[in-house]
Amino acid sequence: MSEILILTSVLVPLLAAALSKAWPTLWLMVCAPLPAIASAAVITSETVAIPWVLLGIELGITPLNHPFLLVSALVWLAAAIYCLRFPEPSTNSLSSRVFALLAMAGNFLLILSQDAISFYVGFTLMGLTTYAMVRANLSKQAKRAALYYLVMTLVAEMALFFGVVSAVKDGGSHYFAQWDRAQITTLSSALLLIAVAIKGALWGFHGWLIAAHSSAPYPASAVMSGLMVKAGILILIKFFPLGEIPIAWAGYTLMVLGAIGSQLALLAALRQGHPKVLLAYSTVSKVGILFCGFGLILLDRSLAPALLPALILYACAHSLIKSALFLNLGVAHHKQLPWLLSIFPLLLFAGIPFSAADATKAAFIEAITGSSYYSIVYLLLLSSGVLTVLVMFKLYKLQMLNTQPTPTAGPMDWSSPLILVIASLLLPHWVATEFKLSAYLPLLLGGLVLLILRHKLARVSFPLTDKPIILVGVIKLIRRLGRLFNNRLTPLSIRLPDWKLSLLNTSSSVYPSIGSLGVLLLIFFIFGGP
Amino acid sequence: MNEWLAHGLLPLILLSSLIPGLTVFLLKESNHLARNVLVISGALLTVLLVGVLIWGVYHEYNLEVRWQLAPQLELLFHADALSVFFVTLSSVLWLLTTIYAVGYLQKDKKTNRFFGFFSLCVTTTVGLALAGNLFTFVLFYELLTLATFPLVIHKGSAEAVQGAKTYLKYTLFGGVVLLISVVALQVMVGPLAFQTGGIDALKAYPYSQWLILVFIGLIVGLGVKCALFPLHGWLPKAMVAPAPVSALLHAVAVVKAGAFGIVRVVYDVYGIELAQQLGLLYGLSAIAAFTIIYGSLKALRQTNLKVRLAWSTVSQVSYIVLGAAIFGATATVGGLVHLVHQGITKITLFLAAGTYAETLKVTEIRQMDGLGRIMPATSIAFTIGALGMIGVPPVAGFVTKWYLADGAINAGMYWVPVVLMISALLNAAYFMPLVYRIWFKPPCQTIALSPSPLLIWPPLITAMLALAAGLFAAAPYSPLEWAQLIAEREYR
Amino acid sequence: MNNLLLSLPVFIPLMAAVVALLIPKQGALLGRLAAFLTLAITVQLVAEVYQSTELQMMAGNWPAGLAIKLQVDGISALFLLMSAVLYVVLSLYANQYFHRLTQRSDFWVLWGFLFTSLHALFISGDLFNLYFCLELLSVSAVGLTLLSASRDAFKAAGRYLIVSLLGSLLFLAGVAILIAKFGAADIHLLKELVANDSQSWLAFLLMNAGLMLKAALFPVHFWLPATHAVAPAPVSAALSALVVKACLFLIMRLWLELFLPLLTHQSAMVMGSLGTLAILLGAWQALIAKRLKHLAAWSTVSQVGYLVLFIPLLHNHQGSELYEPLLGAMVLMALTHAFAKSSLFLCIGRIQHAYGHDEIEGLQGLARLMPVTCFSIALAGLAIIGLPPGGGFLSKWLLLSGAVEMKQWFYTIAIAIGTLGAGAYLFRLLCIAFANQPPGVSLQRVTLSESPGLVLAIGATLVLGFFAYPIWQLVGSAGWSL
Repeated sequence: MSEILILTSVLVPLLAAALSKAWPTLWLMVCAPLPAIASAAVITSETVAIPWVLLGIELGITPLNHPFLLVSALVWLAAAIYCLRFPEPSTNSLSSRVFALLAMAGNFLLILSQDAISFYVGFTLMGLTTYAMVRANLSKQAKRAALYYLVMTLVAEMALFFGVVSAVKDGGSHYFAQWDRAQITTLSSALLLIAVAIKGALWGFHGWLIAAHSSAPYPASAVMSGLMVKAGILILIKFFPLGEIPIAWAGYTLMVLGAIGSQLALLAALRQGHPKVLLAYSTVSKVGILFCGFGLILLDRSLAPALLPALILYACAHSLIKSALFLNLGVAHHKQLPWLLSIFPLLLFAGIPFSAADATKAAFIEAITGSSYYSIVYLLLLSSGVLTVLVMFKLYKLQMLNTQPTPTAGPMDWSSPLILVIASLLLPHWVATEFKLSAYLPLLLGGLVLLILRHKLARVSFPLTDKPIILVGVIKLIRRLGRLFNNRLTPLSIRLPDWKLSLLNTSSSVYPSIGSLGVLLLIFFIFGGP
Repeated sequence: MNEWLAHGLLPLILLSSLIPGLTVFLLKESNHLARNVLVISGALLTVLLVGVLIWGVYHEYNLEVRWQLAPQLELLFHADALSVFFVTLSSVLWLLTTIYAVGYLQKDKKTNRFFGFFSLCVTTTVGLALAGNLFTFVLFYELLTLATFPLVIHKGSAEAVQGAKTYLKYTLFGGVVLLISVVALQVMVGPLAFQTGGIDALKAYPYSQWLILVFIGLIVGLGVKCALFPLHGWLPKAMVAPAPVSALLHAVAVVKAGAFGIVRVVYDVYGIELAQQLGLLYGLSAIAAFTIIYGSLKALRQTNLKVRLAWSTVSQVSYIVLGAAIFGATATVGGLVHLVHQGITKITLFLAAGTYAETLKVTEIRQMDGLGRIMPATSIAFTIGALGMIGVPPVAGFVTKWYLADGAINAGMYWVPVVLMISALLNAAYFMPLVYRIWFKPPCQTIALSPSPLLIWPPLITAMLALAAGLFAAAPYSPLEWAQLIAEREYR
Repeated sequence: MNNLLLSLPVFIPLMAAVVALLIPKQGALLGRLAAFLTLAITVQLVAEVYQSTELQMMAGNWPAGLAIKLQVDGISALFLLMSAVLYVVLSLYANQYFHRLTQRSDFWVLWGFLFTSLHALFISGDLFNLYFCLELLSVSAVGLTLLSASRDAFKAAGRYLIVSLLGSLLFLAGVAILIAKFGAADIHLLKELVANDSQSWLAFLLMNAGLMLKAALFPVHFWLPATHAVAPAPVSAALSALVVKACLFLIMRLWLELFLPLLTHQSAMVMGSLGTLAILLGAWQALIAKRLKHLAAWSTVSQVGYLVLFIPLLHNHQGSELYEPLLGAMVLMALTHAFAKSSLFLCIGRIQHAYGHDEIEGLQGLARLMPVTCFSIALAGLAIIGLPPGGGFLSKWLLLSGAVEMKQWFYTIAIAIGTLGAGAYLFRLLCIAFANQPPGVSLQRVTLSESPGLVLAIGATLVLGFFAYPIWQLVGSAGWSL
C-alpha cells in the first residue's frame, strides 16, 4: 500500500499533466500534490524498487528526504490554491498548467529518488519545465530571464549528468543504498559541485535566480524560491559523503562563497525597490547560510549527525515562509490584506520566538557548538539575522506601497499563504531545542538598528558610507569586486516598470562598501580557520 | 519445427519485403488500394517473422543459410544477437515509415517506383543485417547504394539530381574502397565469416601493418555511409529526397549500414582486443569524436530544418562509432544501443519535419513559429525527438550518453565525456530554439489544418517508442538489454 | 549420337540460313525456330559435358592431326550455351526490329551464317577449321553491319571488313607456320609439340596479333566504336556480345592451352598492361560519350581489357588453388558481359525507336517514359560495372583476389578506377533518366519488345549472380588447367 502511495506521488502529477487538456480545471493542480502529502504524512520509511524503469530505479522516503517531501507538497498545494483564487493567464493557461504539473512531478521525483538516475531525471524534468514558468508573464524581461535561466539550467544539467556518471563509477552502483560515497573522486565532486552551485544559486552563480524569481508570476516564484533552489541542497545530501569523509576543497568553496552570499545578498536586497527582487536576494542569502553549513560538514565530518538534520529543517523552514511571503505579495497585489496577515509572515521570517526560522537557527547554532568554526558562523548568523530584520522592514514598506486599497481580501483569498504559515508554525515541534537567549540576539539587534535607521531605510537604501574603512591599498580591488557583484552578475534584476520606482534611486556609493565587506569576509575565512 | 526455423526463416524474412517490392512494380499506377495493401501487409509480415527470429535467437537456435555463389564466395546468412538488433529496428521502422509514406505520397505520380525501391531498400538492409560473412555484407552494402539511389533522386528536380550525384560519388568511392579492402583481407586470411570476438585466422596473421592498412580501408569504405568526417559531404545534400526516404536513410538504412558495418568489423572481424592491440581504436575514436563536434557545429549554422537535422545525424551516428571504439563492455553497450536509439529518435524528427513540410509547407526554421498550436500531436513528437537527441531523460538518448560516458571513464578516456558534454550542449543549442519556436512563439499562420492521420501517427508512435526505450530501458527485451546481451557475448 | 549432338549446333543455323536464302518469306519463322532448336540441343550438350567432361568428333577421312575435329569441353560448352541463349533472344527481338522485307531476308541469311561460324568456332578442335570459322564470322558480321544502309554504315563496315580480313590473314599465317613445322592442326596434338623456338614464337605472335585486332584490344580497338555504333541494334548486340567474345575465347586458348609451355610470365604481363590501359581508356571514353551507342561500344573496349587482365593472373596462378576459381571467373565475366551488353544494345534500340535519337543529354524522363527499358539498362549496367547482384560482381571479386594475391597493385588500382569510371558513366545516364521529363512528352506504353532486354539483363544479374556455381564445376572439367 505504502509503495503505491509513493509511486502515486509522482504519477498523479504526471497523469494530471496528461489530462490537463481534457479537464481544463485548476482543481487538477490542487489535487496533484495530495498523494505526496498523504505519503509524507503516513510513511516514515519505505523504499520501492522498480528495476525495469530507466536503468532500474528506487523511490523511497527516508528521514533525510521526508521533510522535503512534505514541505514541497504543501508549497505546491498552496501555490495551486492561490492560482485557483486569482486566475491569471500566466498561471492558468493550458501550457502553464501542464508545465507546472510536470515541474511538480519532477520535483517529487527528485526528492523521492533513491538512485542517481531517477534523481537526474527528476532534476532535468523540473529544470526544463520551469523554463516555461519563468517565461509565463511573456514580458520582454521575463523572456530574457527565462533564456538566462535555461542556459544556466542546461549547463547545470550537463555538469550533473557527467558528475553523476562519474560518481556512479566511483561509488560502484547507482542505487544510493549500495553506493559507497566515500569513493568519490575529485572529478565527480567538482562536476557535481558545479551543478550544486548553479542550481542552488551559490554566490557568483546566482544571477539567473534574481532575474528568474523576480519576473515569474507570484505562485511560480513561490515554488521556485521555496523548492527548486533546494535541488542544489539535495544534490549535496544525496551524493556527497557527508559525515563519511571530509572534502576540504569543496567545503571551503561552499563555506566561503556561501558566507559571502549570505551577507552581500542581503545588502543588495536592501537596495531593491521591487519586493520580488528583494525576496530573491533574500533567498540567495538563506541558501548561502545553508551552503555554509554544508561546507562545515564537508570540512568536519563529526558535525554531520547534529548539523545535517538542523540544516534540512532550516531549509524547510525557509521554503515554507519564503513561499508564503511570495504568495502574500501576490494576494496583496490583487486585494487588501488584513494588517496582521501582511505583517505576520514577515515577522516569522525575521525570526520571532517560536517561529520556524527561530527554532531552526537555534538548532543550527546548537549543532555547531564546540566546532572550531563556531565563532565565525555565529557571527555570520548574527549579521544575517540583523540584516534580515532590516530587509523585512523594507519589504513591509514596499508591500504597503503596493497594496490595493480595495477590495479587502477574504479568508479564501489568503488561505494559500496561511496554510504555509501554519505549517511553519508547526515545524518547531519537529525540532526539540532549548530556549536560548543567544538565538534572539540577531532579532534584538536588528530591532535596535531598525529603530535607529527606519526613516533612512524606507527612503533610500542601506546607509553605508563610501568612506573606506579597510586598508587603503586594496581599495581599488574592492571597488571592482563591488561593481562586479552588482553589474555583471545580475544584469536583469533592476528594471521592473510596473512597480513604483521612487525607491530605486540609490547612490552608487554602496557598491564599494559591499565589495569591501565581501573581501573582509573572504580574508576572515581564509585566515580565521583552525 | 527446428528444421524449418533453421533453413526457412531467414530467406522468408528477406522475401517478405522483396516480393512485395518487386510486385509493386507490376501494378498499375492508379491502383492505390492494391499497392497500399501489398506494401503494408508485406511490412507487417516482416515484423511478424522478425518476432519469430527474436524468439529463435533468444533461445540460441542456430539460424543459418548458405548458398555457394562461387569458389571462396559464399552467400551466408546467420542470425546472431547483433543482427537481430538491427533487423528489428529496420523492420519496425520500415512498417511505420511505409504507413507514413502511404499518406505522404497521395498526390505523387511515381508511387509504384517509390514503394518498389523502398521495399528493396529494406530487403537489402535486412540482408546486410543478417549477413554472416564479410562477402555477403559487402554484397548487400553495395546493393543498398543501388536501392536508395532511385529514392534520393525521386523528385527528379535539378536539385534532386545534384543530390543524387553527390550521393553516388561518395558511396561508389566508398564501395570500391571497401571491396578492395575486403578482398585483400580475404586473400590474407581466408574466408571471413563473422565470429564473436574476432576471426581466429585474422588474429593469427603475422603482419600487423597489413592488418592496420586493411582496417583503415574498411573504415574508409564504411565511413562513407555512416558519414564520418571527412566522408560526410553527401548526407546534407541527400536531403532533397522525400521525407519518408530521408527518415529511413537517416534512421535505418544507409547511415546505420555504415555504423553497423564498423561495429561488425571491430567486434566480429578484428575483435576488439586485437583492434586495441593494434592501436586502431585510438584513431577511430578520435575521428568519431571530431565528427560528433563538427556535425553539431555545422548543424548550428543551418537555417533549413531538414539540413539541420541532417548535420545532426552526421554528429549522432558517430556516437555509435565512438562506442565501438572504446574498449570495454559498457561503452560497447552505449554504442550498440545508440544504433536503435538514434534510429527511432531521428526518424521521429524527420517524419515530423515531413508532416510540417507536407501540410504547411514549412521547411525553414524561421517558419516554425507557433506550430505547437497548429499541429500539437506532430509537435509533441518533434519535441520528444529533439529532447532525445540532446539526451534529456527519460527519452532514449540519455541512456546512450550514460553508457558512453561511463564506458569512457572506465577505459580511462576522460576526454570522451568532455566531447559528449560539448556535443550535448551544442545539441541543446540547435534543438532548443526549434522547440522554443514551436511552443512559445505566436503562430504566423492561423489556419488550423488537420493532416491525414497517416502523417500524424507514425511520428507519434516512434516518439513514444523513443520515450519507452529510455523510460523502460531496464525492462526485459528492451534495446538496452539486447545490447548488453551482445556485449556480454563479445567480451565473454 | 554424340557426334550428331556435337554437329547440330553448327548445322541448324546453317540450314536456317540456306533455307532463308531460298525462301525469303519464311526466313524469320525459320530463323526463330532454328534458334530454339539450337538452344535445346545446346542445353542437352551442356548436360552431357557436365556428366562426361569432354566430347569429341572427327569429321571426314583426313589423316590424324589434320582432321576436322569438333570438341566440347566445359568452357566451350559454356560459351556455346551463351551463344545459343543470345541466338534465341536476339532472334525474337530482331523479328520485331526489322520491318522492310528485303532487309529482313538479308538479315536472316547472314544471321544464320553468323551463328554457324560462332558455334563452329567454339567447338572446333583444330586450327584450320578455326581459321575458316573466323573468316566466315568476319564476312557475315560485316554483312550484318551493312544492313542499316547509311553512309556511315558503309564507311564503318568497310573499315571493319579490312580489319577483319587483316586479322584473319595474320591468323592464317600463324596457322600455316605451325602446320608447316609440325604437320598438324589439331590443338591437342600441337600443344605437345610446340617448343620454345623462333618459329613457334612467330606463329604465336602472328595469331595473337590477328586475334587482338579482331577482339579490339587496346591499342587496336580503333575500329570498334564506329562499327558497333552504326549497326542495327540486334547486330550491335551480337557483335559486342559474341563476335568479340569469340575472338577473346581464341586468345585465351592460345595463351592458356596451345602456347602455354612457350609463354613466360613477362609476356603475360604485357597483355595485362594492355588490358589495364584498355580498361582505363574505355571507361574514360564511355564517360565522355555523347551517344548511348558510343557509350556501350566504348564500354566493350573496357570490358575486353578486363578479360585480358585474366591472362597474367591465370599465368601466375597456374597450379595454385586460385587457378580454377579465376578461370571460372573469366568465363563468368565473359558470359555476364555478353548478356548485359546485348541487353544494353537492345534497350538502346528501343530508345532510338521511341525517341528518334540516342543522345544521352536528351533522355530526361526515361525512367518514367520507358520504365522497363530504363530498369533493364540499369541492371545491365550494374552487371557490367561489377556491382551486385550479378556475375560481374563475383568475377570482379575473384579478379581482384587474383591481383591482390599477386601483389599487383597496378592492376588493383586500375580495376578500382575502371569500376569507378564505369559507375560514373552508368549513373550519369541514370541521373538524366531519372530527371523530370520536359513537358509535352507523352508516356510510352510498355510493349513486349522491351522484354528481351529485360530478360537478358536479369540473366546477367540474377541468374549469373546467384546460380553461377555450376560454371566452376564445368570449368574444372575442361582440360585447360595443368
